[in-house]
Parts: sequence; structure tokens; C-alpha cells
Amino acid sequence: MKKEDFDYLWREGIVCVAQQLEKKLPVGHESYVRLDVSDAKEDLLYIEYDRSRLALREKFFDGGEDIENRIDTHKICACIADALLRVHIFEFLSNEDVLPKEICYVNYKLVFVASLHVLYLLMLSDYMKDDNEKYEQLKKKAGLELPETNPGHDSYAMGRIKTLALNDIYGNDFDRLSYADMMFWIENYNRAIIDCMLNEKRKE
Amino acid sequence: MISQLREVFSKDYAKETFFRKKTLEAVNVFKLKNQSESIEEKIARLRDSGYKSNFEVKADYIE
Repeated sequence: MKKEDFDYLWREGIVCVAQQLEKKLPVGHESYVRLDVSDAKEDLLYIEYDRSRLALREKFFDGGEDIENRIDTHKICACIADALLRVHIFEFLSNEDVLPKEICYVNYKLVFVASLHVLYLLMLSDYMKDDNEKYEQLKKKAGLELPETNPGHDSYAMGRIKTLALNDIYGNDFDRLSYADMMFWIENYNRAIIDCMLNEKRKE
Repeated sequence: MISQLREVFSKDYAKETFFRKKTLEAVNVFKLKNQSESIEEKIARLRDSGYKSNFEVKADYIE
């Protein structure tokens, strides 16, 4: 992806989520954490994204013969998540206090929700091309739905966010292909919901 | 005892090494394919339409 395309995802997909997450942080968070959405931070993130994408391409993708094989939407989301795990948009400030829970989580929440947002944007683009009714339906939802978990468990999102955090803290490699698979199923789940809603509507 | 153990270990190790060698030689057959529309085209469509995202970080995502 060229830098100008990445600029769009940065502006529309990542910064917008980071700013919404910042608004949800507790009062006084400024002494623990600082949101950095500068051009310099974007450049760093792009370098990490491109490194992740190239490594994925080289190791896991068939180069193609007549037509070049491309990295798909879900793996692009996974490479962005990988880059966000390495380049922290919320910078932690030196402070002796124990960090409030919401602040501990903030970079990991950004990884998960920003990659969901990029998925949402790319789904909208697909619908924009193929099916205006579904495009309008998804736009109206202003987000993606996630499956319910079994009673007693964390919500789906919090389970994913905690998994990202624990693997990162224990130094486990980020598995881009599994993350991309999760993105595939989230897209599939939301497509099924939209199809179902429109079918119900047509019956009325 | 030790020689028996060594024999078993060596046989398994040799088998495992052979498996690794052969799959590595054939690694290209496992590589992924995708010839759908490029990400650049998808982004261009959004950008050209002037779309501004209305995405909301819902509370149930993060609490």
C-alpha cells in the first residue's frame, strides 16, 4: 500500500478511534499517558506496517505467475495491528503511581478497535461497489457487531484485547495469519447479519 | 539402556528431520493466493466518494 493510501487509513481509521478512546479515559489521565497522532508518529507506524507486510508477503504468499497475488483485506488489518503493537500511539509518561486499569489497556484497545475500523471501511468500499442497499445498511450501523460469548466469560472484544496484551507482555510473536482469520470471521458474521436483516425487510 | 534410548531418539529425529527437509523443499505449494481487488482500489473508492467515517467505539467493545 502506498503512503497516500496509508494516510487515508491513518486519518479515517486509526486517529478517529484513538481520539474516541482518549475521551473515554478517566479524568486526570494526562499525567499518565499522552496521545501522539503527529505526522512523525504516522511515518513510524507506516514503516512498521510495511515491514510487517513485506515479511508476510515474502514468507507466506505465492508470488503469482500471470496475475500478482495480493495481500487481502484481513491480512492488511493484521499487519496494521502488528504495527500498532510496536508503535505506541498512546505514550506512557514517567509516573511512580500504579497505572489505572483503563490506561494499562489503552494501546491494546486501540490495536483491536482500529483494526476493526479498517475492516469496516474496507467492507463499506466493497458494498459501495457491489450493493448499495447493503452499503447503506452497514453505514447506518456505524460499526461492526461481535458475537456473544458464553455466560461468565469476558466479552468477545475484551477477550481479544486481553489476549493481545498477554501475548505482548510475555513476548509471544504476533500471529498475523490467525488474526487475519479472526477478521475474516468478523466480516462474515456481519455480512450474514446484514443479509438476514435485508431478507426480513423484503418479507414485510 | 542409554544405547536403546539413543537408537529410538535418533530414528525419530531422523524421520522428523526428513519430514522438515521435504516440506521445506515444497514450501511453495503451501503459499497463499489472492487475486481479488487490490486494497489501493478499495481505498480510492472511499476517498473519491468523499466518505467520512461515522464509526463509533461502542462501550461493549471495550468495557
